[in-house]
Amino acid sequence: MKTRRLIALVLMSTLLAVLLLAGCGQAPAASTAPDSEKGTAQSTPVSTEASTGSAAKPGAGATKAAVLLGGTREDYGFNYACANFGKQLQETLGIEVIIKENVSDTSDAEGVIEELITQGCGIVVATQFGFLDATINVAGRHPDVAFYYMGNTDKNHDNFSVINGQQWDPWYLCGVLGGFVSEGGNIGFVASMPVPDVMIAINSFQLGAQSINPDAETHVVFTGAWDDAGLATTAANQLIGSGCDTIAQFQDTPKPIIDLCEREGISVFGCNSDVMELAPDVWISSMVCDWDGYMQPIKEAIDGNYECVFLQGSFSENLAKIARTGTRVTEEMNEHIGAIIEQMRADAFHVFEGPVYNQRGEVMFEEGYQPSSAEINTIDWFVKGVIGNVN
Amino acid sequence: MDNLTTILSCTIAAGTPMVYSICGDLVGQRTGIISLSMEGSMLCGACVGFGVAVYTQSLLLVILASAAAGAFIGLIQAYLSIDRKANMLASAFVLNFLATGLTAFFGISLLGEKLLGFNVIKIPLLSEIPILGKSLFSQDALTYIAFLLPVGIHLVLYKTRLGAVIRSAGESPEVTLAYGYNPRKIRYGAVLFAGAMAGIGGAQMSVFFTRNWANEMINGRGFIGSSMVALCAWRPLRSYMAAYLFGLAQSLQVFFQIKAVPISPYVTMMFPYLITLVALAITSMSKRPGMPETLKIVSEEMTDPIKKIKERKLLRR
Repeated sequence: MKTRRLIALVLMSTLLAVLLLAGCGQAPAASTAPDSEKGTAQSTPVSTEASTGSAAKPGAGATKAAVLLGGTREDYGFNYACANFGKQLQETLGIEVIIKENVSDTSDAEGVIEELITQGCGIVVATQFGFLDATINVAGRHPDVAFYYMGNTDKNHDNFSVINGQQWDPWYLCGVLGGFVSEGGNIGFVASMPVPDVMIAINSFQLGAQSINPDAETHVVFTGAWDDAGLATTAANQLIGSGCDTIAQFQDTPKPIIDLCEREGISVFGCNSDVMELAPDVWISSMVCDWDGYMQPIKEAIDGNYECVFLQGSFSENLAKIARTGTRVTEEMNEHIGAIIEQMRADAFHVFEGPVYNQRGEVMFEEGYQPSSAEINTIDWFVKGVIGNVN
Repeated sequence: MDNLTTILSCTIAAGTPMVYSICGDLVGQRTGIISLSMEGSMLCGACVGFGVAVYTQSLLLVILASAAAGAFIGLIQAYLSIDRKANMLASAFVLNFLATGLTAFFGISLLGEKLLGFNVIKIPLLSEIPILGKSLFSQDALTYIAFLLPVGIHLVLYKTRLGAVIRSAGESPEVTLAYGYNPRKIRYGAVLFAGAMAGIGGAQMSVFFTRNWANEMINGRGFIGSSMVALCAWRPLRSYMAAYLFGLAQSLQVFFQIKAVPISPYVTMMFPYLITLVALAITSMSKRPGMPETLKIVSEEMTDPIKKIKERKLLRR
C-alpha cells in the first residue's frame, strides 16, 4: 500500500515538473528572440540595455520605465492618476513606459519588478505604500536601476529615492471649498482606514472648512476597507440621510459615491484624481498629485546624473495640487483659493500652524507653532469640529 | 424617526444580496455540497449583470445573464466536487481567484459606465406607511423578489416532491436512488441553482445597490453568505434573519460613527463579522442542528480530524 502511494507521488511530481518546464520553455519563445539568447539575457538583466550611457549611475540611459499600480488604472482614483503619470512620463521624457496594473502588495511584487527589469526597465516607479519592502529588496539587487517610491517613508538610500506629494495643502483647499458650498455646514467624510494619510486629509479638510464657516462640522465614517462599493454607498447614504449636504471621501474608487451624489444633487469631492467629467454639476474638486515635480529627478537619472532624492512637499515643489473645480464653485471661491495657493507657494501659509485645537477644545499646537512634517504625519487625533471617533 | 428610516433602508440594501447567496447555497448544502465559490458566483453575476444593465436596460436580461454567469462558476464547482470528488473548499477558493481574474479582465470597460434607469418601484399605499414604507416598499425589483425568495424556497423544499428529493440527496442518497432519482443530477442542479442565485445577488449589488461595477466589489459577502447557511440551521425562512442581521450590522457600523457613539472605529468596523461569528457560535451549540447527514461527514472530518483518524485506525485493526 505504502509503496504504491510512493510510486504515485513520484509519478505525479515528475509529471508536474515536466509540465512546469514545458511552460517555462514556451513563454520566452512566444515573446521574442531565439531561446538560447533569451536565457542568457535573463541571467544578466538590464546591465546590457539600461546602462549603456554612463558608467554606473542608476537609471542612466534608460529607454524604458515601469510604473507599478496596486489596482486597475480605470478606478477613477489614485491608480487612474498614476496611469496618467505614466503617460506624462512617456510624453515629456520620450521613453517607453510599461504600466503594470493590479500588482499585489505582497512579496509577489518583487517578482513583478524583477520581470520588468528583465524586460529592460531602467526606471521603476512604485506607487503604492505596500510596495515598500519589495522595492527596497529589488533595489539592493539592481544598483544600476533607479527606483522611485511614492509612499510616505524616509528609507531612501542609494538607488532608492522617495518622492512623496504631501496632501495637507490641497486637502485644506478642498475644505475651504467645502466650507463655501455647504449651506448647512454639515459635511460628510467617507473615510477608509484610520491611517496617517487619511487622518491628515480629514483634519486639513476640517481646518479649511472652518476657515470659511466657523460652525462647519465634518462627520467622519470609516468603512474599514479601501475599496468596498457597498459599504461606501451605505455610508454616503446615511450621511446624506443625517443631514450632510456635501460629501468628501477617501476611497480608492470614488465613482460610486460621485454617482450617488449626482443622483441626490449633493456636492461631492473626489479623491486623488481629477474626474470632474463624471458629474460636473455636483463635482467640487479633489486633491491630486502634481506630476510635474516628479519629472525632473527622473529626467536627471536618465541623463546619467542620478541623485538619491527625498522629495516631499506640495505646491511649492510642484508635487501636489487641486483638481479642476466644478460648476458649483463660483469665480470668487476660485479667487479665494487662488490667493491661498499663492501664499502656500511662497511658503507663507501653513495648514497646521497653531492654534490648532482637538475635538475637546484642548490646544494641541500653540499659537504660531509650526509642526514639522513628522509631527503632522503622526497626528492620531481629530481637530475641533470633526465628529467621529478614532481611538 | 428619520434615523430609523435610514438605518432600515441601509439594512435592507446591504442585506438583500445576502438573501440570494444564503438561499442559493442553502439549497446546495441541502444536497450535501458546500459552495464557497458563492463569492466567485456573486462577482461574476455582479460584473455580467452590470454590463447587461448598461447595454440593454432590460431587467429580465439582467436576471438571466447574471444567473447564467453565477451558474457558470457553480457548474465548475459542481463538476469538481461531485464528479471529480475534489475537496469542496479548496476548489472553491481556486474558483474565486478565477472569478476575480475573469471579472477584472472583462469588466475593465464597465468601470467608467454610468447606469441609467433601474429605479425604485414604489408600491402604492404601502409605501406611504411611515418608516416601513420608505424602507420596505420603495425598493427595486430584485429586492422585492428577495423578500419572496425564502418563502418560495421553503415551500418548494417542504411542500413539493422536488423538495423531498433535494433533501433526500443530502440526507441519504440511497433513498433518492431507491425512489428512482439520480442523486448526482440532483446535486448538480442544486449547485447550479446556488450559483445562479448568487449571481443574481451580485447583480442586485452592482445594478441596484451601488449602481457601479468595481473590481472585487463583493468583498467577502459570498463567503459570509455561505457560512450564514449554518446560522440559518439550513432552514430557508431563517435566511431573512441572517441576511438582514448582516445588513443591520453594516448599517449600525456607519450609524454609530455618524452619531459619534464613543466606540472605537476598529470595533465598529468588525461589527458585521463579529455579529456573524457570535451568532454562529450560539446556533452551533443548539441541540437541534439541521445539518444534512452527508454534510456531517464533511464537517466532522474538518472539525474533529483526530477522532476520525482514531476511528480509521480502529477499523483497520
